[in-house]
Amino acid sequence: MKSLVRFIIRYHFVFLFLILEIAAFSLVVTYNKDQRESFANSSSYVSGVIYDAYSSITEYFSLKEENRELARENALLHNAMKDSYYFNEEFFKKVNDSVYLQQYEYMNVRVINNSVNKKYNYITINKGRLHGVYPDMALVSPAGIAGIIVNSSDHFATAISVLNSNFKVSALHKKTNYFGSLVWEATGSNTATLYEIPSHVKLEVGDTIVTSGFSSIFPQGTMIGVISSFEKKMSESFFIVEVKLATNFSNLSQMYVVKNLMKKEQVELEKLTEHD
Amino acid sequence: MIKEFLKYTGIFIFLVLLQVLVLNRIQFSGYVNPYFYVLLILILPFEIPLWSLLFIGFFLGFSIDAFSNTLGMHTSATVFMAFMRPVVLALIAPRDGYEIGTMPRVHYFGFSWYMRYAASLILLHHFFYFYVEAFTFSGFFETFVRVIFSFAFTLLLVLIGQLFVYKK
Repeated sequence: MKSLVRFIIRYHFVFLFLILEIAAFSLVVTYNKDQRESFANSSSYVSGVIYDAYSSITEYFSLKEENRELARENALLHNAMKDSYYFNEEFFKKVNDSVYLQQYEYMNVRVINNSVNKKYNYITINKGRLHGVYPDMALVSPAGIAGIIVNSSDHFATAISVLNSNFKVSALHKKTNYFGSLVWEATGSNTATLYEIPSHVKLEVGDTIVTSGFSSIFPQGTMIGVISSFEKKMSESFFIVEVKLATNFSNLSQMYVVKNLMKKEQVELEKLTEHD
Repeated sequence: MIKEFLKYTGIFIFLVLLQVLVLNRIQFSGYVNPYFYVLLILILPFEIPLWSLLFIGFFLGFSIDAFSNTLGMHTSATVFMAFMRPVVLALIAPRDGYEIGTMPRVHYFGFSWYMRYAASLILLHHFFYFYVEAFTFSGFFETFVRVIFSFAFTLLLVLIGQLFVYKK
């Protein structure tokens, strides 16, 4: 026994090494299989606190990459969203009624592109020829008129916005039924100018201006806006009326394309009359 | 004695933090990961009791393991390195042995001695560590490449570290 103790003391270095090595390997074997959290809770707590503090500092260095990564992921999610898919189901619906002949058809569309700050602004919508959207149809928002379709592809259509210097629509002073023509003179995104209202008409600020329906594009009585100011130049017999547009053009989303079912008839008839 | 103890405790903490917060995040092409913390085993004085050498190795490795989710791997490798240190020291001892008051530093015994000392111990440690790790992970040749690359990196760091040690 004594000699054993002496033996151990003499070779304590080797024995200690073997004991520690066995301890280390038992750690490897028990701990590194799959469960990594049960052992050494206190040390993982300490390392957790330190790592946490460390990463809260270092994450600032990678903010740029993080942002880029998030943006990329956002794009990915956007791509997966329903909005990114083309909804190919809605078409004009036909209604047969012998008493009331339907003249206008409305189709719900969504604005996918729009500008307000140019001189010639256009609106792009998500319906096209396949859905029966053709040039010279009206585009109205829930609040009022918005534009006229000028081009259509299979799935999309572009409309000339009211905020376009080429836009012109026949407008009616609702109270008195006098009409004039409304144009936009690049005067900001919510006012248009109405000409040709005779100077004897009693106008008031706040009077409603609607479409006249003369053009066969917009249904009669569609909201355009309200009078914000009017003036009459000397030697002129017409008012110059500033109209505050009802549609908020900087925030367009859901719109309607209006199809005039009797447009062909009207146009042909008017053409016939012109020839005479 | 207390002063020495505090000094090496400070170095211990510094090396563990340096290892887990900085060096463990360095990975060139997945091969190179320097284990600079073994420097502690290298710089301990000649006179240190052998049992405490082993215990220091154990706790040093254990600390690294606790931070890197490799429990037992660094521990076993560092204990092994601590065990081999007296052997290596005996093998490369100068003809008249290690004088009292000297330390295992490059300026006491020269670059060539220090190189042999550091390189052999680091290589032993890295071999041990990477093969223990490979025991649970990947193939032989890949492990060998990792040993060599990491060994070179660690040794470089240790040698650079010697530039900052001044003769008293």
